[in-house]
Amino acid sequence: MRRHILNDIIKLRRKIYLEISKGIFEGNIKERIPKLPKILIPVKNGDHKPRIFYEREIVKEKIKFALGLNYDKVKDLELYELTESLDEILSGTSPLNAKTKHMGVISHVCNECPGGRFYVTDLCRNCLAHTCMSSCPRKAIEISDGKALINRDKCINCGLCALSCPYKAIMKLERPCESSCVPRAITFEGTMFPIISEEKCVTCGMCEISCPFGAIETVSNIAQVAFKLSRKEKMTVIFAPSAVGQMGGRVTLEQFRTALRELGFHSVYEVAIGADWVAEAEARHLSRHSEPMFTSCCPAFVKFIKTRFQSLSSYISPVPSPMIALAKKLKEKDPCVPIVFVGPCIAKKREAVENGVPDFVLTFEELGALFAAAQIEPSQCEGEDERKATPTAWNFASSGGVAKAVVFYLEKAGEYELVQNLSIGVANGLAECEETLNSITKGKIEYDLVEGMACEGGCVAGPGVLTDPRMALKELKRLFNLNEVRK
Amino acid sequence: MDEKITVEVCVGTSCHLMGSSVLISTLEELSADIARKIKTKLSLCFEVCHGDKNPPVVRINGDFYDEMTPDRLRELLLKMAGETS
Ligand code: FES
Repeated sequence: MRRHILNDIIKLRRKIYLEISKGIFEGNIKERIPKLPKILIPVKNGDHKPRIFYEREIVKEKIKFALGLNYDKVKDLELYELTESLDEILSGTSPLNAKTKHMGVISHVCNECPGGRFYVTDLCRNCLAHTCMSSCPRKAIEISDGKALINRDKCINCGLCALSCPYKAIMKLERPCESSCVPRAITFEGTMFPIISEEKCVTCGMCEISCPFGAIETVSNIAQVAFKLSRKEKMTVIFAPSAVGQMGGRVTLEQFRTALRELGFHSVYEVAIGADWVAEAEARHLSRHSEPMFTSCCPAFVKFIKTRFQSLSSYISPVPSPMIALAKKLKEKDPCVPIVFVGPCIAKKREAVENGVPDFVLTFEELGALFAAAQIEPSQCEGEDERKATPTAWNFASSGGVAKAVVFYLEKAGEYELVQNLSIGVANGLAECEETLNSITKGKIEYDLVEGMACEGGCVAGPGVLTDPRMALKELKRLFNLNEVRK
Repeated sequence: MDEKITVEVCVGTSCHLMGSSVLISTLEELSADIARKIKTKLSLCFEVCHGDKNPPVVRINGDFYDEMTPDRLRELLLKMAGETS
C-alpha cells in the first residue's frame, strides 16, 4: 500500500484550492487571486527571504493549474493579467482553459535535482579492502582525503561500487519524479527540469505527489465547478467507491450524500452502481470468450497496456469503466445537466476528456476544499439512505476487488466450473502491472483474468485522497463486511 | 498521577482537509507510557478556523493550538506528560 504522507507541498495545494473556492463563493475572486501568493506565504520576522520568494512563485504558478488553465499558454502571464478574462476562465470558455492537458511541469520552480548519479557519502570509512575500487570496471574510483572519490569523467554509472561497498556508503541520487514514473514518461533531454512525454504518460499522478518542490502539477476543474455551484446551476455528482472514509471516519456515506446536496448538487449517485453493471458485463464477456481479459476500470492501466504492451491491447475488456458507464446512462436521461465525478484519481480526468463524459472530474482533495469553503460539515449532516449497489461493487476501490466482483457475477450466473479453473492475476500498482504484463508477453505466465490498478493498494491509495489509505481500506472492509481479497 | 491530559483533535471539514487524520494516527502511535496519561477526544469544528486560527486545530487541556503537525503534537505531549508524572 502506498505510504501516505501529508507534506507541506500537498498542504499548500489544498490551501490554494480552498482560497480559490472561497473567492468564487464569496464573489471576490478577482481581487483575491493576485494577492494569494502573499496571503498564503506571509513574511515573518527572521524568515529566509529568498525562500519566501521561491514559495510565492510556487503558489503563483500553482494557481494557474487550479484555475484549470493550459500552462503552456499562461506560463509567462502575471496573475493580474489573468483576472481580465476570469469570467471566461471560470465558465470554461476561455482559449486559455486546458482541454487535453492534464499534467504540467513548472520548469522554473524545479530544483533541477542532479539525478541518476552515484555519490560516495560520509559513511565511507576508508577501509582497507577497497572493494569499490576493485569492483569498478572503469577504474573510476580513487581515494582522496581519506575517502573514496568517483571520477566523473571515467564513471559509467553502472553502480557496481554501490553494490560492493560493505557499508552501503555509495548511493545513487535519484530524481523523485523520474524514479516514481513507471512508464518512463519523464525524460531530461538536454534540460535540467523534467519533460513529460504525453504519449507515454498514463496520468497516474505519481510524479506530482513525489516532487518535493511542487514543480509538477495537475490541471484542476475545481474553479469551474465552484463557479457553477455559486450560480446555482443544475449539476449531477457521481462519486467513486473509494469515497468511503474520505471525509473522516465520522462521516457516513449517507451523510456524504447529503453534504454533496448541500453543496448544491441536484442529484447524487454512487459510481458503485456502474461497478455492478461492469462486473456483470465482464463476467459475461469472460464466459463467452476464451482469450484472457484485462480489466478496464483503471484508465492508467489501460493506457499503459496500449502504449507499452501493444500486442496485448486486444485483451483489454471492451466494457467501459464504471464512471463512464454511469455517466453515459445519466447523460442519455438528461443531456443538458453537467456531470461531475469525484474520486481519488487523476487518470480519470484524461479518461473523461477522451470519452466526452463526465463533464468535470474532481479529486477528494478538491471536494474537501469545496466543503470547507462552503462551511459544510458532513459529520453534522442528516444523512440519506439510497445505497443500491452490492458490497462487491464498492470493493472496486481496493486492489483485488474488481477481480473478486467479476468472480461474484460468474458464480451468480452459475458458471461454477469456469470459476474453478479460472486463473487470476492481480497486479497491484503500476510496477507490478509492468512485471505481470512482461511475464505474459514472454509467455512465462498465463492468466484468464488480469486485474490491474496503477495505484499500489487500489483507488483507496490514489493521488487525490484525503484519508490515509490504510484507514480508508479498513473502513471499506468494515462497512461492507468484505473479507480478505483472494489472490 | 490522576490528572489526565485532555487532547481534543478537531475533525471538522477545514481541519480534516489540512490533515487532522494524520494527528489522530500520531496519537494512536504514542507509546503506552504516554498514552495512559492522555485522554483523546475527536471534536467537531471548534468554530475558530474561520477566524484567527489556522487548521488543523487541537485543544489541549482547554488551550487551542493551531497549524498542528504530528511532530509538534508529539513533542508537546511528551513535555506535558513528563511534567504531570
Ligand atoms: S474545522 Fe477545525 S476548528 Fe473548524
